[in-house]
Amino acid sequence: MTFVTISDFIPIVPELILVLTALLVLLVDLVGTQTGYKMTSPLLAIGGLCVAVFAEIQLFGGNRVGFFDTIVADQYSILFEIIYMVTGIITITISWHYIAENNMNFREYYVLMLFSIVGMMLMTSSLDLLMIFIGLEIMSISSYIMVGMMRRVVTANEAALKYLLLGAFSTGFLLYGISLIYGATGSTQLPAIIEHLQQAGAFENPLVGFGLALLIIGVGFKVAIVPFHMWTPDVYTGAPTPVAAFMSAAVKAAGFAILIRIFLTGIPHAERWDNMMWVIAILTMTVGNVMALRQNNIKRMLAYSSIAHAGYVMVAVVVGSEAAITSIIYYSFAYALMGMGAFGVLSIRSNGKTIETYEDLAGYAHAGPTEQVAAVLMSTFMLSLLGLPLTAGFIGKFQIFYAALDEGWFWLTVIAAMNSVISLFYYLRVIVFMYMKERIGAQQEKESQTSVSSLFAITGLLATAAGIVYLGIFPNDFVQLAQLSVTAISF
Amino acid sequence: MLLTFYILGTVSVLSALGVLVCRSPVYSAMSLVCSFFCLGGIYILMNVEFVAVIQILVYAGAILVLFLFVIMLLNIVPTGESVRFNLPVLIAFGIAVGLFAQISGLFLGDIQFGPKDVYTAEAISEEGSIGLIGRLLYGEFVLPFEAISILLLVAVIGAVIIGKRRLN
Amino acid sequence: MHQIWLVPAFPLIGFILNGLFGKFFGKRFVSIVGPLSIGLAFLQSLVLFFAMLSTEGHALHEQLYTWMQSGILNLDVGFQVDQLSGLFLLIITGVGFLIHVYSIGYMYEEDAFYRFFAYLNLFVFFMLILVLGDNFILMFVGWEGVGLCSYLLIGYYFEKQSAIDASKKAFITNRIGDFGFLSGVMLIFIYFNTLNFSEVNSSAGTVLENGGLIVTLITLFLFLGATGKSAQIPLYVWLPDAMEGPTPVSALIHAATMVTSGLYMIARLSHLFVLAPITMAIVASVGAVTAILAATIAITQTDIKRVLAYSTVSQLGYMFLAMGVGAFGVGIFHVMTHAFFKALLFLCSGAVIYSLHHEQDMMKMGALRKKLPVTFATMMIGTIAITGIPPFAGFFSKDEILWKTWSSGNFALWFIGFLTALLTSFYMFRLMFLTFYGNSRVDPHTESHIHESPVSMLAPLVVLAILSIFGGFFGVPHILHFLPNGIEHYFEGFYAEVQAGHGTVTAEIILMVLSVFVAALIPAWFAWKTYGGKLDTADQRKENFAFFHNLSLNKYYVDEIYNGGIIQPIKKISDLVFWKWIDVGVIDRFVHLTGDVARASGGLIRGLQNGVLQQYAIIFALGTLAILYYLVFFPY
Repeated sequence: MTFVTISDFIPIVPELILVLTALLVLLVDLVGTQTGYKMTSPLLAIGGLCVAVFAEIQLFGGNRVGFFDTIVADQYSILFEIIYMVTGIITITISWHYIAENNMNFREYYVLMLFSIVGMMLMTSSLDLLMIFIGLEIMSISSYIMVGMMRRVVTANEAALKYLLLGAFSTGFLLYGISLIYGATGSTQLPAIIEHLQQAGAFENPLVGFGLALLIIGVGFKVAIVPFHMWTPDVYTGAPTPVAAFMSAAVKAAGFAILIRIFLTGIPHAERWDNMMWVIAILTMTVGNVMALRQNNIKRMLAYSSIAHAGYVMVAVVVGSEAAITSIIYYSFAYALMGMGAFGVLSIRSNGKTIETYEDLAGYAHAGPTEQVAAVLMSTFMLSLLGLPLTAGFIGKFQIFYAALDEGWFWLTVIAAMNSVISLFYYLRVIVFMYMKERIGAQQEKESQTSVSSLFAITGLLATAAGIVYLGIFPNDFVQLAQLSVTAISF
Repeated sequence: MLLTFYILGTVSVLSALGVLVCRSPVYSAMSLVCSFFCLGGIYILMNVEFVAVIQILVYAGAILVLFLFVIMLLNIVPTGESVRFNLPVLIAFGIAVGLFAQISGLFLGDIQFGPKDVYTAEAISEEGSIGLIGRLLYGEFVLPFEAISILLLVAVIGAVIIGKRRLN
Repeated sequence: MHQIWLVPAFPLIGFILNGLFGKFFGKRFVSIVGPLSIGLAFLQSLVLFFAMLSTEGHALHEQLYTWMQSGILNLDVGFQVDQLSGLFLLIITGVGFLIHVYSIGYMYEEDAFYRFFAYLNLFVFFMLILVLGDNFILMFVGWEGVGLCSYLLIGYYFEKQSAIDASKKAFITNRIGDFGFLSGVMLIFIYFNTLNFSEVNSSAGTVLENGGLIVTLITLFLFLGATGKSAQIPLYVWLPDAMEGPTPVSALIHAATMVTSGLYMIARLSHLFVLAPITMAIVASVGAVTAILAATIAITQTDIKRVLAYSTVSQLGYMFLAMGVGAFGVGIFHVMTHAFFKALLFLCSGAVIYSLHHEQDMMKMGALRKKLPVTFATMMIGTIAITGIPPFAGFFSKDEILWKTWSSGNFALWFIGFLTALLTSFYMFRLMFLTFYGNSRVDPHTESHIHESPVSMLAPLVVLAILSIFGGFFGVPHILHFLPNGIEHYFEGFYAEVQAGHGTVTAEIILMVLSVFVAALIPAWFAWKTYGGKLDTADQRKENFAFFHNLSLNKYYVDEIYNGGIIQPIKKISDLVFWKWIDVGVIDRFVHLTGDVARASGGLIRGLQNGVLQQYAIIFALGTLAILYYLVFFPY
């Protein structure tokens, strides 16, 4: 019998740092209820995340393994984990303002966010389906609670309950899938499973197809692919806006990280499998875009648009080449930034009002100094989401289309391109409303005031926008990193 | 042996149906207990006594008692409504039947199970399932085991947040 | 290193300075930074231009940085200046600089002065990226960027609903074009495995079969893109509406630069296009038909800017005609002369509009030549240039196009072009006479305030007028031996060779005389007869040809046809299917139900029992069912 040694813990040092930070935040909350200033928890959380990012960077390139080869800190997992943590940092910068404005005064919020990130990191760096499942559950349960944190808001409650119930539903499928895979292969460890599945005739065993299908359904629920997407609009709309931002960015990225880890690293694909994924990709893109077109609530629109973006990523999943995986990693990061940015702008109150519909955005750009900057940022995010050149969104789509064309998926690419044309209309509508519409009832409004917390949020969003533009003009550095990480997972 | 399995299985399925159909929440809960007990019996048939005991302890013991407490505290009375068979319910029923058919189809098909490694029935009966599970939990699966503590902590925090009385 | 990157860098800096600080530093700051950035870019362009001319092979190339390097794709951000992009550089920065200077005076009263200049600088930046880029991606960056700026600038007066509508129309039509462009680029990537222009051009003949299906498809897709940007049939409808933007925008973006990017693209890929004779024929025909269609519409318009807008569409048609018959150099030559005189005409019309306090209706003008002498003189030069009276710029380029069309054997197309020239002369002189001659129909109240524009506006007019006079000597036809044909020499060896046309010197002289007298002078005289004095004759003619007049006035009802035939049906379908049925029918109903039930019972749990959640679960399970069936049980 073998035991765990200290070296086993090295690959999970960042996770440990985050767990400790989370516990610390929880304790600080207990000790300093009266004296503690509101800033301690978010700053502590950001500090912990920064230290963890630093630790990840130290680990980069080491390819360390631990816990009986079930945990790896390869370039792939490290890159994704950094994406989650960057997402977390930005979410925290936009959360403070939102929490202060909406009296959502739970400092457990930051604890849950940190734990959720820990869950994502564990599932990304794990090679064991069981561990992946537990990581996924840590992530999910944290997000269920974060969604329902605004207890007095009915829609938030409803969203949380819907998310919880449907999430539990999908978890059932996922777990069943894992057990079937275990039954078919005799292992829960990915390398062993893949080795087993690479044997000739492994797919003639119906257990395998059944299990893999259930796995994809379970993960597909998290990344919201059609037809497992129905919860997304309700949950994103009802959830506190920073949580929606976090979910659309980090949770999705984590879902795709798992999808790649399980499905694109050596499991041979039957033609039938490709056909199915192909249809799902098209459905996801189209449903997302067409429904987004019809929304009047901006958060709902963004929710559908996040479905559409998941569809673009699914195109790359279908393609499955090394270039496609690179593009998935790039797109996950790019989408994390732009989706989060868009939700982030919505989380800033304008004249004491929360922005919900397009009409609320009318004349936004002329409402005050904060709004003026926020409108520029929002435009950047929208242009990036619709994939205009010089933004990360363009490079992301470009890479996906390029990879798809390279493997000969011409019509899939054409459909994806048509979809991105559709998306133009609803993204531009945001800009049109912000700049080209008159503000309704502008006279009655007080002079808008800039609070410290909103400046904090704006700073975070500025960094996000800068990241988008940087990734759009100089994509090569990140592409190289993504390629390195792809080589790390190629079996 | 096989007969026992079939009896337990049938009772388990029937009592699960009872959970859905019973109008009184208390009856529903009791049907659930029954179903869990049968599952525990099936676990024993499969030589995993430890899981069987845990099943009964945790589900029938802890969770069910909690359910009954909640029912009692909220004083939920039977509404007198039974399950109505309108269109959505029928569709849902159809889909459920379809899924059931698929799963049964799966096991009726030509399936092969993977290698059982060292955990054969003989090995289990030799060492006892508790010992094996313990070794696995503190050996190979120590990290998932520890990670579950985070999961539980998160759940506790969630319960606190939902249950907290004052909101500021 | 030739520092090509400096050219786009200047406008970009201008954009950043104006956009970020323009509001705080005031109009004086903006009116220095805006034009100065373009002026510096122009100077650098001049340096590059002459450096390029003196280089072996007439091409400068500069690699900035590695854009992306992955297994299948190695792309660098590189700029190139050669005969084609060098010429465009000078046009964009030169004409752009003049228009920037002009805008100082024209836009000074606007509140959002800084915003205007920021957008304008940004536009120039993207336009420069478009022509400087050495690969499709950079071209696409510019292509999308100029579209965006055009969209923003058309909608500049966003208080006006018509401006918003126009900007939307421009964007949507352009997106259709962009879709074509992208499809073409994707196909090129599939077949060439590269996105570099020079690689595509040099290997076009070996990779693709001459006249084959693929090359035809690729070029047709690309041409669709070109019709969007360069306002050709069927996507020309946005350009006339784009006149909702400020006049300098019309001059710069919708006359001199952006609308020529489609031509630039075709010229850039001439080696690809010559492989597809079918596409070439289509290009030529679409160009010719657009030219005459737009010209016939221009005849009856009364809005001074709309006349010029249709004239632009028509002239662009000419350029496509030239491209289609393989006279790439001549087409680009016309791009240049057109940039001079059409920018001039637009700016002059702007000066008129400015003087009349934003009156654009020519029926409310007249007899302005005394009051606005400089504007009148320069606009007359522009008009003479566009009608093709020698030795003004338009004569050389237009005549060369007609001659190339004739000598390539396309007599029908030549005839259309000839008719267009005739109509052009008529509507341009009609515009001149209505605006500057006859009786004054100006609103008496405005009449007393009429004054000539400030120097900052007049100076660019004079410079452009000089260019419109002498710009044509760059390309004097062969038969006039006293000067060398600059343009042909300039582009030597750059374009793909098309089989040389046969034509005799006699024929060329006859055609030239014909086009000067029949196509330019006679219509001018006719316009004088009709519009020079009172408008009685004009009204008489209007009644005599009421049917044609209405057809032309209403632009052949193309907008209505597009609206009724394409947009409304799509809207109907999407309303019916997606809105009425799915959204309202399913989602809304359930959402409302949720709300109602929740409110009625005051409870959350009750609210959840109405079926939304169950419905989601049902769809989830249905998806599962389908996937499992297909993957596991569907028979092979």
